[in-house]
Amino acid sequence: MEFIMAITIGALYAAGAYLLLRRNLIKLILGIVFIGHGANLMIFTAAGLRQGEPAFVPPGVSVLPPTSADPLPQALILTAIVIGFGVLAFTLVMAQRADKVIGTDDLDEMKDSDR
Amino acid sequence: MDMVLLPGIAAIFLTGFVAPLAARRLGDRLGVFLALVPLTVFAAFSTLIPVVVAGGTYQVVLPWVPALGISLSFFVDGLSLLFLLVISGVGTFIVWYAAGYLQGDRGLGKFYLYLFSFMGAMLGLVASDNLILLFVFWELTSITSYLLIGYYHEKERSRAAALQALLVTGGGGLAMLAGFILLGRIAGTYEISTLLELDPSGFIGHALFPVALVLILLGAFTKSAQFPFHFWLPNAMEAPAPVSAFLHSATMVKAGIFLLARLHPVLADHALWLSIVAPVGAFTMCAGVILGLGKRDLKQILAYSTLSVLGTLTLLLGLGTPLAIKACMIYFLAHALYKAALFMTAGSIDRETGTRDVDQLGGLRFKMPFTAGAALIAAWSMAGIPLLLGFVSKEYFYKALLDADGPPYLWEILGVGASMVMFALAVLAGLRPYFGKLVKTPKPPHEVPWTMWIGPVMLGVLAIYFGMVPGWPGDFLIGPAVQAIQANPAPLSRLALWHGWNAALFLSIVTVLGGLIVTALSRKVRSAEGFYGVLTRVGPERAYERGLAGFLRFSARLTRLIQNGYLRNYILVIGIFTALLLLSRMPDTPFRMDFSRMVPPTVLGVGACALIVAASVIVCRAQTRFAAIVSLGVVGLGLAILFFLFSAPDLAMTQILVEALTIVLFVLAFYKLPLMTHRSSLVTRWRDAILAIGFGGIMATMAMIAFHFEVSQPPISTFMGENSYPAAHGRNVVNVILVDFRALDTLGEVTVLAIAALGIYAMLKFRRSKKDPPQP
Repeated sequence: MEFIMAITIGALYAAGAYLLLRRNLIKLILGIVFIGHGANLMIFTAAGLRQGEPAFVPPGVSVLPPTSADPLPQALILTAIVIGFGVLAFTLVMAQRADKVIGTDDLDEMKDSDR
Repeated sequence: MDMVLLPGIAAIFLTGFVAPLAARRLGDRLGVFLALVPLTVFAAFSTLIPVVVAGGTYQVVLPWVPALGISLSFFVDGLSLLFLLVISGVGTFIVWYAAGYLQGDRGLGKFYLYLFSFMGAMLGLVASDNLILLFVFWELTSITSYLLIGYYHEKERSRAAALQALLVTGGGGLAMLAGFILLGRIAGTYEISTLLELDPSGFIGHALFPVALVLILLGAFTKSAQFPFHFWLPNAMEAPAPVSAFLHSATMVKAGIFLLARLHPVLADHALWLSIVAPVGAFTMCAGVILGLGKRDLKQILAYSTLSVLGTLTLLLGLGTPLAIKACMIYFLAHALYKAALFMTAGSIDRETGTRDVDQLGGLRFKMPFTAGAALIAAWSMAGIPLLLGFVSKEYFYKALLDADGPPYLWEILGVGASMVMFALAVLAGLRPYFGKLVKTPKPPHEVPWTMWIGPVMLGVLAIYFGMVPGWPGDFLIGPAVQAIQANPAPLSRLALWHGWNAALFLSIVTVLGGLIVTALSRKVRSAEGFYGVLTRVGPERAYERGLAGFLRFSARLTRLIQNGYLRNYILVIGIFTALLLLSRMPDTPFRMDFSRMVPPTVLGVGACALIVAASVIVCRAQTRFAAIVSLGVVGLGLAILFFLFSAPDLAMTQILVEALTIVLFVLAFYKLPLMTHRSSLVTRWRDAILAIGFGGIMATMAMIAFHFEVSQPPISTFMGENSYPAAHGRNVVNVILVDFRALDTLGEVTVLAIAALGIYAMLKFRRSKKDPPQP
């Protein structure tokens, strides 16, 4: 399964890279989201996958069973998802303002707008 | 416990920073008070004389970067002390002089800040025991001298001269740093005091030693304005007179001489030393006086004569015999005394008469008696006439030339020739303006305030005293300095005024007679403009100008090429570079594919992966924003499924929530959803697609490598799993990590989100007012 996940990660990164290279502002933002997805999935996969073993301490035991999923990468990814959302929201609103003020979402036309 | 050296240097720096504050309160009297600081420091440094006369050194060490062998270490031997005393002593008079010269100047506090910072840097430079520390002070003198030379910053010429001095000396300093590092690696130490005790034959044969030598010489030559780097010095005459008097008599330009002297025992045994240093010095010595003879501006005449003296000192260090080193030190002291005085008197004339043109000056001796007297003494010393220190130094100079190896009579002829012209320059700068008929000047002249003549007069008195009793400075200042430079100290004869009828005295008499002839001819030479015009056109300054202009053009072109304003080009460069970096490190960990360690594929998992890949392709190909946004949602959903399947329910929930919010936000922000037509050509899109797939491939490989990577340490999460329930009373370990183990992290995250929310709010509220229509 990890191998298939790796291919999926590659696809996410590839889509992200492709979108970052577009002239459309919205596609650029989408590209950022895709790179974030790829990174999250990469951390998730690198930690090793577990089925039906969430990082919960079962009732009656005080220590996390060694077979359960690694909690640390999950905590990191959770943080990353939320921060990624913050960045996305900020960028989106900024893009919307730029679109309104400059009147275009073509990055090539925006290039000279700060002169 | 050091009570002298570091407190002294620190006091100088501190005074500089206090000066701008005190300037408001004290006004023009500021300089009178400030000069007491270098005077006190001078007195404090004098207490070290007995130490160095006894052959000892004074050391202070503070650790700085011990791992790299760099420490804040200072040491004072005879050579350092001679420079320390000259810098602080002449500095005292300069501060006084500046108080009068810049009377009423609004930037006086700033000026003293620059001046004292420069003085402190100079003191630090000559007292440094560490090569890297010496470099730091070296560059600090370059930067502060830039500020000083460009003090009249509203004048374009002044700014250009300051920049030129900075680029030439700063550039040389960088070469010197490279040389220092090489030398330190070759010899195994950066401590100068240790270097001096090593036997140079141990490392002189090293293949890189000549490289280090040449690099260090570059630093010394640029600083000391040796040909072909000499042009910055005359241009630096744009500076206020006290700056010229300080920088070009006793300090800035002498730093190069100091470096040559300091490292003489380490470097001079190499054959390259004699074959580079002596000829460069001799050439600069002759070129300086010849160019100076063509000048009419008092300060220019002095600047070119300074060049010549710097050449002389370099030549003497290049010859490197015990006698030459002794001559060098006496010459250094004599020059510092008379040249500082002459620069100050030249500044006084400029300030009082409004001109510096020697052909428009004359008969000032009754109008400015103190200035005239001081200038006369200084010129006397510069010309090398008996009873002054300049005579003693010239005698030793000739003795050293007679004693040196090399082509027969070459050094003697060059030395005597240069000295003859120097004699003429001394008459021009020190006598011409004061004698003869009184010439009408732009401003009616009168004597300068006491602060401006006290310095030149005192320096003149010293020059006379030292000249009549040369044994005294010889024993206490020159002797220890010479001992410090010589690798194998040899006992030296005592300095004396009278050496009997010998060859050196004969050369001195010839010099005076020849000098009188050159003086008589000097006005004719000055009018030979054609000759000097050619020299200016072919001189190395043209190379500097061309080089600088070319460099600026090159930079502009390079910037246009790299910073072209197309975001995707930047991304492309960064992405390709990152990919190459990753590729280059991949062979370190052999690629493995261990299916036994993997979870067997599940139908749902493979389905989610397929969904993600398909939705990604749709986003890339989408023609409408709506299609793109919906597909993005599908990708997020696929991720959530994967998280859910593989034991991360928290992640799955968060992902779904965020995904929903994202779609809402997209729709809100871009409720009008126009077409996203393809803007790039088909070729570009295919190129990008291929690059993107390549990048994806690398990242997929990375994921596999990361998965197979084995850590030798037990993971941190073991600790967290063990302590989650007992210590934090939480069974969901992911949550415990977020709100307990890494609570500060989460707090930071919340702060980031809050700031982002504030920014979003501000941007949504921001409306361009109707009066201010959008710019086209």
